[in-house]
Amino acid sequence: VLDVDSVQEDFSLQEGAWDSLALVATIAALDDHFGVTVDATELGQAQTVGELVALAEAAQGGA
Amino acid sequence: MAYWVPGAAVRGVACAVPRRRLTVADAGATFGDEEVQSVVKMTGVGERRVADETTCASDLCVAAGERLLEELDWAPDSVEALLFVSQTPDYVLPATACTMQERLGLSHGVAAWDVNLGCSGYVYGLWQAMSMIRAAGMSRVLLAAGDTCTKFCAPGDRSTALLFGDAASMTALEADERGGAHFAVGTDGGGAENLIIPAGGFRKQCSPETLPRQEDAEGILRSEHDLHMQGMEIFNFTIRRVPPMLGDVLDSAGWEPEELTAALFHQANLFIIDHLRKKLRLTREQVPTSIEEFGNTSCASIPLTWTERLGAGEGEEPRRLAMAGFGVGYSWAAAALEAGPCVMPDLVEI
Repeated sequence: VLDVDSVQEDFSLQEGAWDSLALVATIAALDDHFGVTVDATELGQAQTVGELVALAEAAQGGA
Repeated sequence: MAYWVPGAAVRGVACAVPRRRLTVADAGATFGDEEVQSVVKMTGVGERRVADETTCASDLCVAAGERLLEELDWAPDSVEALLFVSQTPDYVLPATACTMQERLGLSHGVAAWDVNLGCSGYVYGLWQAMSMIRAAGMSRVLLAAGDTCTKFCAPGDRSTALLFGDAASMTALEADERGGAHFAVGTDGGGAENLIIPAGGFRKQCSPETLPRQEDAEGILRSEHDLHMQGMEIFNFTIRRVPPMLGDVLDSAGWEPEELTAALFHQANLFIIDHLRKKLRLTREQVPTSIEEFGNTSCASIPLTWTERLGAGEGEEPRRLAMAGFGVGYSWAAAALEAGPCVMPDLVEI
């Protein structure tokens, strides 16, 4: 569906199906792969992939 | 931190559900098939049982209790305490457990009280029941746990209306020097607003303003008497709290995850259960589920999974079981216990 190599930091999350199901799946994936738990409300407000990465990095730093 | 409560054992568990079934196809008529399929993929809920307007959680508990007392051959007046765990009581007052004393024919000497907990409620109830046996020297205690959550779900709210089912249980516990269980519990009231019915209590009483269903900021048509659930927040809380809590009771019991016969999780949704299973290094065989057939049945989900998926264990060695309930409150509770073969009547349908 999506060419992973083409995803840039400015890739917009809000244009796709960035709904509650996608958010839960993202929280789970971050927990699985990086052992971090990101704030659900902040994740929902993320506009771009870059903001998502920043949230994950902040959570990792605070973990 | 875990608590060891010795001296009590589960003798039997019975469950009851309404006869009326609600299928995925029924839900498709309201939300559209595509929408329903995407939700079902995550929640795992295929079918649910739904109580009619006149059936309460207590009715289901009483039906399960009558069957259980009969199959255990326990005289009703031999029961010394009855706890009713539920968030869908018959009345604001009196406590529903008091009305159940009369209906079950228990003695006037029985201790009876309600416990207002949901997802964590069954494990909390086991902890209280076993503690009463240990601390008060009681010999027989009944734990009723059930809810009719479909009654407080807004019909147009996909996060709740496609998830919850109605069910109830009755568990019989008895003094037994060889018995006991390890418990861990916890609470974080900071998460209260993430799973809440805002009106109808005394903080915000029922009024003409609270009753109408109106479209809220999320575009969902619901009233303040309907359940409001922030699924993502609940999921976040779950993955933070449940693994360490289960670790605590397993450490206390001295068991490794692979030594468990089964881990009975609150049937919150299949995605959460599967995530917890992987995080705790448990196999699919160790984590039975009932959500596909009954939905999220609140405090009844653990006993329902026990009776419908594990069964009585007749002729088997005692099983090593872990249980974990987590959610509304936030409140969480886990148990690790050896459960020998016990009485488990067929599912009661009313």
